[in-house]
Amino acid sequence: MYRALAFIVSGAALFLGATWFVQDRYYQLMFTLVPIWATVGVAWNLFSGYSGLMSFGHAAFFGIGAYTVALLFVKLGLSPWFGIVIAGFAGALAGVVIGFPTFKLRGHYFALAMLAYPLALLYVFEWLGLQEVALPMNRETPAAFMQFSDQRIYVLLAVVLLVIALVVNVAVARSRFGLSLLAIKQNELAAMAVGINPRRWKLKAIALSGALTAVAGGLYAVVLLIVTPPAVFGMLASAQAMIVTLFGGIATVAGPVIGALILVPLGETLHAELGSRIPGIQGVVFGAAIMIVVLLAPEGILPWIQTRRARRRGAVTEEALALDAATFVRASGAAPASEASILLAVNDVSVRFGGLRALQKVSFEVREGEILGIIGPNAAAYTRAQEAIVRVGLAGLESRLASSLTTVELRLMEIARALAAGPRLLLLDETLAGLGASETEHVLKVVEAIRRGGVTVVIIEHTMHAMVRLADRLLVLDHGEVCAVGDPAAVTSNPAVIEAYLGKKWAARAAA
Amino acid sequence: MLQLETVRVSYGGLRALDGVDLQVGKGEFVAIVGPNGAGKTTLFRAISGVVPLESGRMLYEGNDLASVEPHDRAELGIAHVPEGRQVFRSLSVLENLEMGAQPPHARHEWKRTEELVFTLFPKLAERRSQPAGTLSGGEQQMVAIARGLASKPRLLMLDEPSMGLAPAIADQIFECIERVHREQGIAILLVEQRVAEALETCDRGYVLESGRIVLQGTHDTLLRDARVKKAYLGL
Repeated sequence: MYRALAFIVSGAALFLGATWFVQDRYYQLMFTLVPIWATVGVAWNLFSGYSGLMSFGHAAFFGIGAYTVALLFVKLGLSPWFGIVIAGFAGALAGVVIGFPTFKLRGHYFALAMLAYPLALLYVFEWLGLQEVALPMNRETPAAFMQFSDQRIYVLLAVVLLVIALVVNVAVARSRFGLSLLAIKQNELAAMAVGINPRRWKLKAIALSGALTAVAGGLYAVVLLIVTPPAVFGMLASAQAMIVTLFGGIATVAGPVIGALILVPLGETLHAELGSRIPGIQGVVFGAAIMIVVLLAPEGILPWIQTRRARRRGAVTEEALALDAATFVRASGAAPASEASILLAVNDVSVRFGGLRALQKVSFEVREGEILGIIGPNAAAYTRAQEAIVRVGLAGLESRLASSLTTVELRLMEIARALAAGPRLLLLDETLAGLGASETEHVLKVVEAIRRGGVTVVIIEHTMHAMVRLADRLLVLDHGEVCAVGDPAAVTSNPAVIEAYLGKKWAARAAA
Repeated sequence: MLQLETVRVSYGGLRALDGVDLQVGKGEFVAIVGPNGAGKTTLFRAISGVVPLESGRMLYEGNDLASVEPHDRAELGIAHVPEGRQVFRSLSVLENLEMGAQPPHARHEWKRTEELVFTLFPKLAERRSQPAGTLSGGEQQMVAIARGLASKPRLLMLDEPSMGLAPAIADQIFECIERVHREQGIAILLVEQRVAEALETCDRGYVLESGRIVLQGTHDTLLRDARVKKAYLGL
């Protein structure tokens, strides 16, 4: 927490230090726009990054903020110093207004409503005759109306706003607020089961996000002195909030800042240099940025750099899966006669996963036409074994038990889909999990028939009584190492296997 | 404590629960067994309020659950451990448990609960700061149960806690559930495919088939019932 704060403050100081030497007014403006868009990105991230609900219309909040400040100044003579605070409340309210009806609905209603939100507001403001609202100059007490002849003061204000947004983000990230949002994003059903009210937290998040975005919009109006509906409610404004975040790294604190630091100057410079000849060049920049990120670093560039650095240090991150020393031999017609019956040989394969050794120097072979069952107490180990096999490009089938509506038809359909590719080796991952006794019988018959059809089968399963009947050989993995291999009857009476996997109760029941 | 009266639930025209009557007494261990697709998970979802009732009533300590929002049911002392070990993967073990301590009374007693949970599941204490998604299947199931306990429930509902687990690990999970029941006096409503284990540990059981209760009785009656023996125990 304190490290994050120190990092934010020193980054802000560095940015302001650099600003000090910028004399050109145009570049000063750019130095103002970077923290403003970074703030919008942080605000977007605060909602979409943590809740997982994509907002395609954060321009709604940005525009409401800009118009609130401009109209209060023009119509009522209220200083932007106060106007910006009111803009924050207006943004929060706008968030609740869109969230209240749409968070009740499932599916894509929120995304669609959010897409339409700023575009609808754009036409409303045009219809109200507010095509162009200019903030009047105040000559007597300019500072009281947020008007400064030295542009660098705007940079200071924008950076202060960004620092506030970042501190809010850091505070939210590890609080009950942030954790509840992540819990909802990962598993709304389980979140509700533990008593988290998804709608309440989402409303709080969109209100906070809307408020921060509106304040940034208000500052934008003060800096540019003119507000038009397309500039603040347009698609480009919404896109910019999203893209700086996706580019930099979604659900990270620094991601939107990095995205803004790179993309805003790039877009602005190209717009200034080529805008007259190639109108819409900014859109091209954002489009290209999205494509680059999607193709090369789907998590955004910050996580991409972190993963690469971690890999260089030798530590593999949670997501990364590394095969250490793997040799896979795929027997073919050219193989020596003695190995002709071996379809796949796995030699000394080690796999690390999230710092744990999932597989350690595992060797085994799969014989042509057999049913090989793999069992073990650690689910991770043998799923890794399978992933390792899938990596060498044999036809595989994964049927995780993630789906809540697992039916026997679904399982059979999955098997059929895998068979459609005409494989010689079929990998089945917990195909029997959650099936009743009669359904298990049915699937067992199907697997037997597949083997009779000449396909070799490797099956990973916990349903032991089925495995004992189905498999020709059983391979037991314990702590990433091969614990036993051989005939099912021998393996299941092996004391080491009973100890590590089957348990004493199972042994007692099997004996009875 | 919990009473269901002729509960009917339909999904897209298909009747998943067709007039289910069921009771759980204070501190009682009740098991629901039945084949896949019998409506066991639907029954749990109905009690948790995730699917609406078509007709019938659900009473919890005399209050009608219809007027209680799903996320408020935890506050009443009902904890639902969903099927398929649904932990919050990127959150640490400890954060997962803290998420479970939502109701005010649970938050108040969190420090004591934390101690209790880690005594029940010493493995989780070792891994408290590890992301829950990196744990083994058995450990994730422990996190899910511990998260349920963190809400200080009086009724703990467990949906297929042994699914996809190694037999030895499943035995451990069953032992933990028994301990929770015995030592904490928490009522347990368990849905299981492992009929033998479920019926061995429960006080009373129900057999659910195609959305109806076809058989009910105490632990002894069910284990001795010829139909149960034939259809579920494979004897």
